[in-house]
Amino acid sequence: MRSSGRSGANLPDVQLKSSTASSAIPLGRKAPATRSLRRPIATAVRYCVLLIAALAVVYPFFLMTAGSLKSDSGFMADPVGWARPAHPENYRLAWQEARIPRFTGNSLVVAAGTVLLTLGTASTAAFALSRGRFPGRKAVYLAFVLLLTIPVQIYIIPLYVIVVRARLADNLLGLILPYTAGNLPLAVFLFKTYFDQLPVELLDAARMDGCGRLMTFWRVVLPLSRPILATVTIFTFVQAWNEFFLALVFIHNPDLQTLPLGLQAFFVNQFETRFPQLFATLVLSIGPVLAVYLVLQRQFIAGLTAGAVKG
Amino acid sequence: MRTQAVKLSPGNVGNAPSPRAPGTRAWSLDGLGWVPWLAPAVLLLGVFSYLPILVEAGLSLFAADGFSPLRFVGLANFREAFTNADLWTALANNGWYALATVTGKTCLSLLLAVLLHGPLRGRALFRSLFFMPVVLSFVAIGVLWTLIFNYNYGAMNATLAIVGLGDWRRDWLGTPETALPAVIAVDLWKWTGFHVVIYLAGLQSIPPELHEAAALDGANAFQRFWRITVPLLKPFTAVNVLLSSLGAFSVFDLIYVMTQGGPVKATNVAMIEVYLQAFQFNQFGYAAALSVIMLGLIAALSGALLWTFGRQPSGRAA
Repeated sequence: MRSSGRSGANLPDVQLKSSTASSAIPLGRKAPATRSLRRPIATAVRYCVLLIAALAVVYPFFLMTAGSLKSDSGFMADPVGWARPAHPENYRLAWQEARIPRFTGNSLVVAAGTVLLTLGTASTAAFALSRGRFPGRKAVYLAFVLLLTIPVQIYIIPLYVIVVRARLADNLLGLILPYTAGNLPLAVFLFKTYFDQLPVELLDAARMDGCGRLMTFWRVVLPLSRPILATVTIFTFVQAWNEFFLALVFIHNPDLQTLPLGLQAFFVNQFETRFPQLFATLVLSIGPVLAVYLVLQRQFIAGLTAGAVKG
Repeated sequence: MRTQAVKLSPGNVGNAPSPRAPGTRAWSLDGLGWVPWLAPAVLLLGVFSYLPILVEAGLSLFAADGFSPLRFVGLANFREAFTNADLWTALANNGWYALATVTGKTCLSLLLAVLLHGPLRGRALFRSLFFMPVVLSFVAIGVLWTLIFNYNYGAMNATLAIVGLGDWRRDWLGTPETALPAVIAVDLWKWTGFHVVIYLAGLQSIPPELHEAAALDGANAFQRFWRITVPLLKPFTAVNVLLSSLGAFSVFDLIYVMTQGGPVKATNVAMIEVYLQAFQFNQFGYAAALSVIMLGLIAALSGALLWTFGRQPSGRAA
């Protein structure tokens, strides 16, 4: 009871804070005074656990980077330490032999194509589903949403038949189209949820004014939709960039392999022989994505979890 | 009203002919005008999602090897699948994989999220670090960890030797008993950060006054955790469990890269079995039957999970 007076005194302060945007209210901060002694210990435990977890995440990346800079014999002598002296020539070998530029180029084409096609088709369809009052729109929307939890891999066999029949096997378009179809359910869902929240008066005003569908969409809706465009761009890009299964089945021409496919093929051929070179290949293939992630962390985290948080 | 409408539209400013005349100039909301807006997406979804699902259901009733003409066999593929020990081994592996990854990811991410919640120096840094593996491909991560688990030169065994646990060294991916746990550990490593972010969003949504009031009433930290935090996180737990179990039943990339289903089928999962049957043994009809079984399983699973956990947080329209 002694303490209740104190924390009671703190209460207005807490409510004030919570009414502002940040809801990150300290649990420990508001604790009664009797517990103030325990707080440093709790914080220390908190940091300890978090640091161990962070170390577990980072350590493999350290091993990869250190390993990529060792000589073959140096690596076999010490697989876990830092590389002294550094052998950057692994990177030259990896760059040439693993054909990183080629695979990166293919992946870029596939990812960019998938992103553009998904943005274009999903946003227009979602606009129709959000604004339109035509019969059957609920059924069409349901058709998209129903596939939210169905992974594309499940229907790989007939998909393969369709892609081969359409002469799209060994063709990057044969990846872009199914990737887009696979991303559509989530993209349409997110776009429609977002468009539904736009002020309807604004759209009505534009419509009554003789501003056509296309003009309304282009001049009014899209400029207001930057956040959702970024979200869809990011999760679509990451999906297309990382996808492996469809690429494995559809692409057999080594010149058309995407990054995951090329990496896996190179790995199978090199296995057990040259670890440092494999590590260098990994660094080169992971590096660009990690760099972009580190610059745009906030957007990446928001983009990749949007479906989960909203769904 | 009139003048305002005219003012809004730049095209009408000069020779204002028909200002706002509803029904004449404004396009209708329900006309066929929407067809071109929907057509591309509907066409893509139809051709590359619904058509394959239908074809697959049909194909599962045929013997198809990709060369000779299709031969209708009824439910024989399904009978063969259910009497084949390989399917049951694969499903059992998927089951263990699901059990381990779902509980592991949920508990671990809840723990880390609770520790990260609230003011903490380096909070954003921790969050970004935990999320880092999420953006990478399973192939890159699989290659990296295969090298770490390597018997001769892998960091795992080297580290064990350094800390004096040399006896524990083993061929992690080459031993049937450790191969599946090893792959599961990598999956946990990759995805836990994702679920941490979901739970952090959940923790943010809990009004702090609730904890405050409970603390005033004398509830200790554990009571507040079980009575307030856990129940209010339920929708977020639902999402986490749903996503990780879907991942567990459709896992392919990681296993294909790390173990190819071996040793002696110890890590053989359903999608590996589908891939082998279809693209190594040309048993397209049989593989289609396997896929239909998995499709049913995944649909039932997501339906059951969504139903168990009740309505979703932001009430999705499905």
